[in-house]
Amino acid sequence: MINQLNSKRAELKGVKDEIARLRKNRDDIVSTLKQLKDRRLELLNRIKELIDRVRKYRELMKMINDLVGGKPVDKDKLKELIDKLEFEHEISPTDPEKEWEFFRTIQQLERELNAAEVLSRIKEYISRDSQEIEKMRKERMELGQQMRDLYSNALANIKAQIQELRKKRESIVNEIIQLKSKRDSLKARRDELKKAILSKSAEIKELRARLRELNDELNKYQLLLAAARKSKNLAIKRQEEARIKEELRRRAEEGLQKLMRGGERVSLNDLLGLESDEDNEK
Amino acid sequence: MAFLNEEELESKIKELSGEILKIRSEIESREKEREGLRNELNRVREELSA
Repeated sequence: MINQLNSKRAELKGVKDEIARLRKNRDDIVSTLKQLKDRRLELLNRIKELIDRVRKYRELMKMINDLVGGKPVDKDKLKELIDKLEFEHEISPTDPEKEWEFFRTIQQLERELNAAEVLSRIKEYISRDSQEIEKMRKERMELGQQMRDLYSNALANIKAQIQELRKKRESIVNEIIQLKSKRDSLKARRDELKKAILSKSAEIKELRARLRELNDELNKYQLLLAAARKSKNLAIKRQEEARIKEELRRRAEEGLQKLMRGGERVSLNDLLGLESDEDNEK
Repeated sequence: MAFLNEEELESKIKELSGEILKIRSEIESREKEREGLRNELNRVREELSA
């Protein structure tokens, strides 16, 4: 039970460590997603700024076009025209009226040339900004795809793994609870058995003490019985000896009376109260 | 102790012998019970440390 519990605890620790590792991975991915989202927002704001600027450039272009009469302006043709007029002016005879007209024309053409140069620069700006907008839109799309990939692959996979491990952890925790309950029951049973064994040993000790007492008592009575039997045998022996002694005395007296009466043959044994050899042989 | 004759002594010895046999039987019975409890305790301990 204890080994099983230790094994389950080690398994639980492994699962917890794995969950912690996956959570860290998940947090890293969430952090990356947040960074990507921030970058996308930053790009969006920048795109909005550039779109606004392009809109302003277009308004400016419209205003300049309106100023130069809405004509399509070609810088090279204007330069060519100015050069041509200047050449003609140099080779033509001097006429004050024509001089004034030339001057006004050149002035107008130079204004248009300036406007054309400004428009050309604005177009460059618009083109540059549009390219940047396109580049940033592309980056935003790539970031969006990257975020979707991270979310639907890596993050979803980690979440599924964490979910699975949580179930496993719950299952191990339940097993540990059951094992602990069983262990506690076994410990309680062990304690009961210890008490019962102690109680039984105490009973056995008591019975053995009682047995010793009874054996002592038995020995005592056996000794008394042996003594009583010995005493009885001794009394019987003494009675027998007294009877023999009386018999001897009686025979000795009979022998003496025979001797005193005379004529009768009396043996020494008769006188001593002993039986004759013949009697003994009989 | 009052003086007992031979028959009374024999009777007493018989009575004590009977009681001794009974006590021995009780000791044996309890030792068997204790042995059973010890075996169960060993099984429980083995299960606990498994």
